[in-house]
Amino acid sequence: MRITSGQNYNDLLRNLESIRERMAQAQTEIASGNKINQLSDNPAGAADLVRLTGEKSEIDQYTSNAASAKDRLDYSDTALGTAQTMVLRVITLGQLALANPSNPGSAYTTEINGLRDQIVSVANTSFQGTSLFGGSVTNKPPYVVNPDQSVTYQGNSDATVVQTGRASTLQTQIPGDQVFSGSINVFDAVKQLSAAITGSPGPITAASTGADRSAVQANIQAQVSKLQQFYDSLSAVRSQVGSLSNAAQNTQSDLQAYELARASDQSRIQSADLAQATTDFTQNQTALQAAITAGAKISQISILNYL
Amino acid sequence: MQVLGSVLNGAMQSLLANQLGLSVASQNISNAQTPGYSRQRLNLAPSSVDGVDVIGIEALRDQLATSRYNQETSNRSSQDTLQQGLQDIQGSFNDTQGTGMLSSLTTFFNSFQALSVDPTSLTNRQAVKQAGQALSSAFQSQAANLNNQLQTANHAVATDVGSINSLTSQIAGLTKQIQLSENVNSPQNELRDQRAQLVQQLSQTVDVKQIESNGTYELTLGNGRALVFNGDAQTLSAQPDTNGMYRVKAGNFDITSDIGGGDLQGQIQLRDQMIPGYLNQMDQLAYAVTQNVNSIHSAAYTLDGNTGINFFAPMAAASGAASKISLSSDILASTRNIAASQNATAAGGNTAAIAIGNLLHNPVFSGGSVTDQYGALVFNIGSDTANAQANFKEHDALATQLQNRMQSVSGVSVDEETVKILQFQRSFQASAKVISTVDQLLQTALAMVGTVG
Repeated sequence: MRITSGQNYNDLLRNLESIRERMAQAQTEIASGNKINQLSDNPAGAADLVRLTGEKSEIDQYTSNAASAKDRLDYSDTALGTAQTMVLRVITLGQLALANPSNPGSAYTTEINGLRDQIVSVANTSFQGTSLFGGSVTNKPPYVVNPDQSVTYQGNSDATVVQTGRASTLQTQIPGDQVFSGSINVFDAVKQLSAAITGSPGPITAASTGADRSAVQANIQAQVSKLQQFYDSLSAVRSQVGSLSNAAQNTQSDLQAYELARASDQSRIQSADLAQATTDFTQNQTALQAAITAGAKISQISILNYL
Repeated sequence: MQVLGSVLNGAMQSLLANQLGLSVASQNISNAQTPGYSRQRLNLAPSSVDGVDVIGIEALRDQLATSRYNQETSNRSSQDTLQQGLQDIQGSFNDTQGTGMLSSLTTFFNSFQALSVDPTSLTNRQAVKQAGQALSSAFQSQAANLNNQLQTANHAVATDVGSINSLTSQIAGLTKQIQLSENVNSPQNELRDQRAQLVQQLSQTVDVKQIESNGTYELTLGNGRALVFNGDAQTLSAQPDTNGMYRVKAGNFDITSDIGGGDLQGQIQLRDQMIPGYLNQMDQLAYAVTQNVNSIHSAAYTLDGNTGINFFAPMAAASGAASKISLSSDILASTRNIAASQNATAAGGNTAAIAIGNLLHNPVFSGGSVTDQYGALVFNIGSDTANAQANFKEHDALATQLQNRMQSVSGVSVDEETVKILQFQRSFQASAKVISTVDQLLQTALAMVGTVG
């Protein structure tokens, strides 16, 4: 083939251009630390990154959901613990009333009535402005005390959940009608206990007949054992809350592991192989020097030098 | 004496021929770097009478390589236009550099998950509204960006048609000149070089073929429609259709879809296929988000127990959805109108919020979830760009190869011309020597005449 100097120069320019392009590519990889700097560098990888990044943000959200759920459950547990202490005190007072029939009923009922108000307020506990025990009615207190001292539940039976995974949810609260006003209504039981201590057929005095005495005591005993049952059921609810809180904790660690897996996938697709990129860069640098040297040499060769 | 006279004549012819040879070599050396110049060669033949005959000055061209080079120039140029246009587009979908839509999408759906944790929180509601606005404006700005690219390509179509017309009229003008002044004795090599150069330039804009036989010259589009016939050029026009998209017309014929190469084809492909395809995918995505979110949202209950409220302003069809998507007036009026609850009387209900949040990964398209659909768009743009880049490289390599072949035939080698100068110089010297020798011989003969006389 006939070779002209024009061809030599064209080839030289083209080669320099393509070497510089490869060097620029390697340099971008080294500088950014990324293999994929543009979608066209690896379209399938870029689409994978979209998926992984989306999944990571989902996992972040699930983790945050689980953390909120745990906070809420732990707070519920504390509230339930307080309620338990109060119920225990009511039981103790009931038993004292049983054991000391000669004491006036008011010695116990004042405290019992006070405790009842406190249990209502515990049942109305709110966490970050939302009621814990109202089911999905979170914007008003679940229990209101009526003028006749009866208590009405204005929540519902929804056991609210949050999403903690694509297919998994976590219950974040136990509605009050499964805790305070379920099969045993604690407010009614306490009210009835109080009534039994002070109530008909009147306070037990020295003059009271045996029949009166045993009727009143049976009445008190009935309410006390009801409250004991309630105490046990509260323990059961607390252990349910505890296991939910554990689940929230475990979910968080699981999610962290998932996130780590996503991050390592991401890095596998995205992170530049620095050793490779540096080698490429150096190789191209050598090629560039060689091309320039050869180009300079070839332009010196001319027949005119020999004439 | 007759012999000596004939030798003298022959030497004279040779002197002239060698001078011409020197002038051709000098012309070649002068134009060694002139783009489009084809080297010329002095053709000589032994004379039937005395000495040497000049047959002519021939320009050396490889017609086949030239026409294939023009073809590859068209292909390369069309892929170059595509790759540059797509390069701009892919830059705005680069989520790893933070320019894409992914974070707006995930933030939006995750804000509903966050709302589900405490649906009565006005802070959470505000976050949902803001994420909705951010998503709407992300859709709108991406769509606006794509539409801008579309308009740019559209204007380029009109500009290209203008430059085609200007080139074809120049080519027709040159053809007229060539046909008027060319004859066997004086080939118009320089005018032909100029014309070839213009055709090459035209090949960058559109694919053309040229046919020259028996004195007629024809330049056609790749599909055979004539652009130049002898000295006349067919003017193309760019006329906007009802959407303002320029159609390329020859007379009344719409030849837009016949354009087979060059920048014009690249721009048409960007404008009519690539960008509308991406816009359509964006529209489908925006429409699916609107429809699915609204259908859950309007069945759920707001903080104040109202229902039937849309989150996004409802849209009748997918077409243009990405440019139009916006929050409904109810949501803009108050964040209390965000519906998270399944129950009119339970403000803390979160079933709807969870259902909307789950749209991020639940399949809402036949192809999968919202992120899958967006990932598919990203993949399409990336692979279209990568393809255009690969095609460009391929055609560029072919064009370079062909250019080398053309250069090999038509390019000037300074070394070669220098050697030729030496050759002609020596021939000239030798012919001069012949003349002086004949002169001496004649003098000798004349002296002999004197002595005898």
